[in-house]
Order: sequence, then structure tokens, then C-alpha cells
Amino acid sequence: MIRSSREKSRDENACARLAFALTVLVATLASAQEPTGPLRRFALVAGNDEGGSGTRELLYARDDAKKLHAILTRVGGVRDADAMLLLNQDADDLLTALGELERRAKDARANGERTTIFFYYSGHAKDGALQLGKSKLPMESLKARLAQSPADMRVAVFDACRSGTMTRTKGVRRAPAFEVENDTTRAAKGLVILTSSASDEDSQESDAIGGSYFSHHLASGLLGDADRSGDGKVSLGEAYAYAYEKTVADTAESAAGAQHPTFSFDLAGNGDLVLTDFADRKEGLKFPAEAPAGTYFLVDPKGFVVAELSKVLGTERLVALAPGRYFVKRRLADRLRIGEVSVAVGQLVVLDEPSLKNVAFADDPVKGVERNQLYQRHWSIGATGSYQYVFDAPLSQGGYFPSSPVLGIDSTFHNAFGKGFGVGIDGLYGFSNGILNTGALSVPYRYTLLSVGSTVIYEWPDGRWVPYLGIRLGLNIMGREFPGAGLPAQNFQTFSPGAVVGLKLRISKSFSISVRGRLHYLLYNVDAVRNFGYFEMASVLNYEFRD
Amino acid sequence: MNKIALVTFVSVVAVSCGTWSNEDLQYLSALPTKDQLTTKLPTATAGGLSGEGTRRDALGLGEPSQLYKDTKGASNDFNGIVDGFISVIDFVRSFPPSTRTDNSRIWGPYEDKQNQPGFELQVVITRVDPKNFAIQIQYRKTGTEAFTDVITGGFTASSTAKKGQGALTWDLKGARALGLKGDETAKTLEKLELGYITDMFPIQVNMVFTLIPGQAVSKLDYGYLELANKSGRIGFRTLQADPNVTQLDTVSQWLASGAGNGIYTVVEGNYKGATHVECWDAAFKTVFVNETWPGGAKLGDPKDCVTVDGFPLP
Repeated sequence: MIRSSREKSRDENACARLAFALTVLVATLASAQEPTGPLRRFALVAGNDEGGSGTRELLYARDDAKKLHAILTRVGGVRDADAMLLLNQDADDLLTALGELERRAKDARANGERTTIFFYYSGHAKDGALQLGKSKLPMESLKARLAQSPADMRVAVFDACRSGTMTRTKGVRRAPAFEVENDTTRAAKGLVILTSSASDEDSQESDAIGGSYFSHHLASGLLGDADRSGDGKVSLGEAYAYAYEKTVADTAESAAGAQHPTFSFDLAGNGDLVLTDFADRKEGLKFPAEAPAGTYFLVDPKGFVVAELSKVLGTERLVALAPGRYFVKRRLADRLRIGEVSVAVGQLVVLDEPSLKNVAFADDPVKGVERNQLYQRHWSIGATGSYQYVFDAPLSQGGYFPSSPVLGIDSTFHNAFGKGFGVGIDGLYGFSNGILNTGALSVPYRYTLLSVGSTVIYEWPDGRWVPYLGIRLGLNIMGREFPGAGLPAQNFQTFSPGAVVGLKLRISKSFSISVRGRLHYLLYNVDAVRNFGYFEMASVLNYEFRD
Repeated sequence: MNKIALVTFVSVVAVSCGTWSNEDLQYLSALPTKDQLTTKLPTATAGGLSGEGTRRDALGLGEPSQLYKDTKGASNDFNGIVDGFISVIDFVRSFPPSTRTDNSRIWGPYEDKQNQPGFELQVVITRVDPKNFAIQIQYRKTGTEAFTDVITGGFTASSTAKKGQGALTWDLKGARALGLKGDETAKTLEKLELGYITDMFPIQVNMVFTLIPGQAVSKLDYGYLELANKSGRIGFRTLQADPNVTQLDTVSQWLASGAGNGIYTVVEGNYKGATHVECWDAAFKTVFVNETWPGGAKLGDPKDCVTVDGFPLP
């Protein structure tokens, strides 16, 4: 039965917390040896949006991985050199990286250090295997590998599932359950496994938070909201309990159904592990005790929720935000309270709640980017005005091809090959007049350029400013006449490969303006083989056809 | 990825083509244009007097000028001959060169089905040095190897390649020997030489006709001068059956307005040495006549004759 009410979710949360705490307690009591050396942490963080054939590309798996990697290296006690981030890499790469970390952990242990390996994966999984692009990694073998890893403690987090339904979910095919969390009988030691959903559930992403529910809440918890004890540290138990509670609550009424994170525990008495420690860091946003109770959302300039905080009146709380600019949003029954804070490096900013402004729901300036729309496949059309500068001597000094103003139209199919990848076609018309002077010959000319091209671009459409780059192959058809000179008209046509870079500014949901540069190669081979190039600087007015 | 790069490279190379060539323009500029070589004799505008076909027998002031009429006829003949040269050149000019080397361009061979069926045409322009070009217009029978020069010449460019001094020789005797067909006039000629100067004023175009043996004369000349102000002069020699005037030299000159004057000079015949001076106005009507042979007319006032700057009164 699918449990969809918040009350039922709270019941489940309490059970989950209790189960996790008892398990950790048992493990702690069973501890036979205390570590003797300093603790050294290693992290392997992998995110893969692609799951091979039969799956739909995920939107946030890589972003989730980047987010967790940043947290672990900033407040998770993992040195940069001991952390590996793999984005859209295959199973072999993952195992190779894991082998490298295992080797380092082994060396560290030989030096008397206690060691922890933190393994995180966000991406597709089906049929009992992680799906890393076209490659597969059986869950059982990975679990066995982690169980044998030469680290004192191994924490593995899997944010993956199987099929997708009406909402975007991880995976698109029905398949056997995600199995790692169910097997608690293996005889491995020092291994904790957390999963984002139960064996018969999907793990869901959210456009509103710009990530998967589970990873978002895990990250938010690690940044401070899970610190129920208020000691400036977030333990594994706290993080799991927090992520469980928030994930179940957020997904309870989703079309895909409630999502229940799970854990498996095979730990021989190392006690609860502190995952993040910001007690001494003094960097982030502090919520003073007198700040009103409620849920605060911390939103980055792109509109994505970086962290949440459930504030209780009379309790001081800290969110270990990375340096940067954030919007603070508190949702009340009838309005929003919104303000802005900037966190500098090494600075602990105290929230001045009274400085937040009341804003109606309809006027929410940080409502978040409709990222699902940004990454939908859609067409756009554009009109361009540009100047094409040819890297050649002017025709008045014996050059071959003149520089000229150029007008054009283009059309782009956005996200055609995946998130951010688009393909476009365009047509250009250029013209100029002047005097051709070859030294022995001086005649007036009238030049025309017709160019049709196809462009493949990659763009970053998350914000108001959208940078993009790509490659273009154009067919340039050029002609020139010599009015009154008694000389025949001439023409030249050639394919011209080039590179494109641009920056687009959204001025409304559908309209945008941009500046665009193109650098092209131009082969000339009539008189002799000569290599030319040209640069085009264009201003573009775009209209995007989005739902 | 490598395949994409290879396909792109091959496409770029394979599709890069055309006629875009600064060098070609310089070679083509060695060929004269029709506009450069033809006479620009003013003609009557609508409602004006036609110089031809309205002349009454008797000389009279205010009548259409006979000398203008003869000048017009000579000008038409002159331009017709120029057309003969230029038609071949214009045919070539409409195509890009077939072969390019460092110092030459070759157009053809093309089958000249319209004018010379059974023959192939080729035009070779060789750059002797940066300013001097040699021109060869060659024919061969279709299916044979060797080309025969039919028109040869050269061009020396001056300040711009479009202007300079050139000469072309049309070997009509050789053309006939090769089997090329020609009109009745061409059958009376051995050679036609055309020279031109276009880089300074007066612009000059001269033609020398070398006749086949057995004719009354061995050569006939045409000369044309043109000033920057569109004044012009043409000189030509004609052969006539009249025993009093068997060879007649004519020199005519005109202003851009059309008004002009000219002189007939009897070179051979019973009236050898006699002259006929005639002036006409912008409507090509006679304003002055002075004939020096016995019984010749003298009409009008010579003050009514225009002065063509740059050319003395004949």
C-alpha cells in the first residue's frame, strides 16, 4: 500500500530513526577495538545522467554528485587530494577510481591512520546493476568489493532506482528492486549502505530543488539542518534520519508515490560516524535563537534551493553555506519573507530576519527556475545582424575576400542530443562594395555572400545569462561583379568549419538577446591554395517556443 | 570523431571551387573590350534628322550632311570589324579559364559549333612579365592535335591592367588555309591588324587591312581617335569605281554634341589632289561646303564650322 499522508510519514520516520539508532548502538557495543591513529577520510563521488538504451537522461545526477563532493571536501573532513569526482564516467572508470582509493586507504592504515571511504553514486540502476552510461556494474559485486575494501569504515550511498512514471524519475523501465539495502546478512565488517528508496520504489528528482529529493535532503542535512544535537556536527545517523524524514514527506503525495530511503548496516563497533563538522569552521549563515520558527529555504542565484533549515524558536542554528550570495526565503501561511545574504570566505553571517521583506506568493522573485522547461526539447528562431571580418588584406590592397555586414536567420533545436546539446541551422546574407586593386588592376566590385550552416551547440541555460559554445559547418557561396569594368562576374563556394561562442540574456520567458562570435576557416584554392579565416560578431534576437 | 573530422576535411576540399581569381582578372584585362575599341559617333536622336537615306541629290545648306553620312557608314563598318574580333573574345570571357599556370591562362578547347563547325577554339594568354601579355586565339580541326594561331597579339598594361596599348593581328590567309569560313569581305583580305592605345588621350584605334594580291591597293587604313570630352575623329580610305576618284581619303571629326566637319581628299583619280570640306551642325545638317575641283560648290560661311578641340580643322 502506498502511504501518502504526512502523518503516516511521520510514523515511518520515527520507526526509521529508531531502527537506525538501535543498529548503530548495537554496533557500538559490539566494538572490540578502538582506533589508534588519526582519522583519514577518502571519498569517491560519482554522478551519471546517462543510463544507456532504454533509459531517459537524468537532469540532476551529476549536479547531486558535485554538490556532495563539495560538501565532503569543505566540511566533511576529506582532503581535496583524497576525493574523486567522476561525472558521466563508466563502470571501469568507477572501479579504477575505487581501486586507487583503496590503495591509498591501505597505505594510510599501514601508517597507523584510521580510514573511512565514503562512496556516493547518483544515477541509473536497473536489473540489479548500476547503469553508468552504456556500462553496467552489478550491485552485488560492488557491494562485495566495498565489503572487502581495506578501510576501517565504508559508507556507501546510492541515489538510484529503477523506473520512471508520470514525474521524472530515475530510470524508465520496470525492473527488479534495488537490492543492496535488503541484504543485511552478509558477513562484511564496517560497511554502511544507504539507499535513496526502497526496493520497489522510484527515486525521484525535483525541478523545484534542482536535484533528487534524497540527495538534496542529505546535502541539506549535512550542511546543518540535520544537526539535531546542536553540536555543530552531523553524524551518519542524524544525516540518514533527516534525509529519510524529509524525503518521505516531500514525495508522499507525488505521482510516483512516497519514496522511502533504506539502510543496511554491517559495522563492528566503530560507533556513529561524524560526516560533517562545522563547529569550528565559522563560515556560513547563523540563525540566531530569536529568529522566528519555521522552514527557511536558502536559494542560490540560479534559483535552486541549496539548503533548508527547520528552525525552532529559541534555538540557534547554523547552515554551513559555501561562500556566495543567497536568497533567504521563509514561507508563511499567507506570504513569503525574502531577503538576501552574502557569505564571504571565513565569514559567519548572522541572519537579520526583520530585514526580510514580505512578498506575495505570486511575486516570488526566487521561485526557482523551471528547469524541466529549460531542458525540454524545443525550437527557437532568431534574427541576426553581424559583421564578418575576413583575415585578409583589404581588396583595395590586393586581398581576395572582403569584410562585410551580414544579416541572417537561424533556428535551433534545443536539447536535441541531451541536456544542453542543441543543433541548429542558419542562413546568412552579406554584401559590400568597394574597389579591387591588385596593383596592376583597379576595378569596382560588388560582393555578395550567401551562407547556410549547421551548428551543434552546448549551452548552460540555468540562469538568466546563458553562455553557449559549439561548432558550425557552413557552406559559403560568394559572388562578385565588376560593374562597368567589362569583366565577368566571379563566384566561389566552399564548406567552412568553425567554432561558435555566445552569451544570451533572457529578457522574458520566450525572448532573449545575445552576442555571438564565430571563428571560421576558409579554404581558397583557385589561384593557389590559400588559408583564410574570418570572424563574425553578431547580435541576435531569439524567440524560444517552450511549453 | 576522426571520421567526422575526415568527412569535414574532404568536404571542404571537394566543394571548394569557383571562378574567384584576382589573377584571372588581370589576364582578362589584357583582352580588349568592345567599348574600348568601337567608335562613338554621335547619332540623331528621335525626331532629329537621320544622316542616311534622306539626302537629296543637290548639295545645299540645311540638307543632311553627306560627309556625316559617309562617316557614319565608315563607323559602322569599323565597328562591325571590331565586333568580329570581340565576339571571339567575349565568348571566351564568359567562361572561367580551363587551365591555370603561373604565367598563363588557357580557355578551351571549345567546339565553335555556331561559327566554325568542325573546329575547336582555344585562347591562350601568356604573361610575359607583370605588364606584358601575349594573346593567341587558335583553331584546330576537331580530332586533330595541333592548334594554328589565327589571331595573335599582345598587350602592355599601363597604370591599370584595364588600360594600356595592344595589338591584334588576324591572319585571314592562314585561317582560310586551315579551312575556316569567312564572309565576302574576309575573302579579299590576307591580314587584318588592329592596334589600340587606351591609357592616354586621345584614345587611338587603328586598323590596317592587307588585301590579297590583284587589288587596286595593297592596304587600306582606318584610324579612330577619341578625346576625354567625347570629341572624336575617324580617318579612312575607300576605293571607288569612278575614274575621277578611284581612291578617296576621308577624315571626319566631331564634338560630343554631334556637330562636326570633315574633308574628302582624292588620293588617286583624275581629280587627284582635289578636296571637299564640309561642316555640319548638331542636327547633322550641312552648314558649309567648299569643293576645290572645277565647278565645285562653295556654300555657307566657314565661321559656322565648329572647332573640335584637340584636332585641327581638316
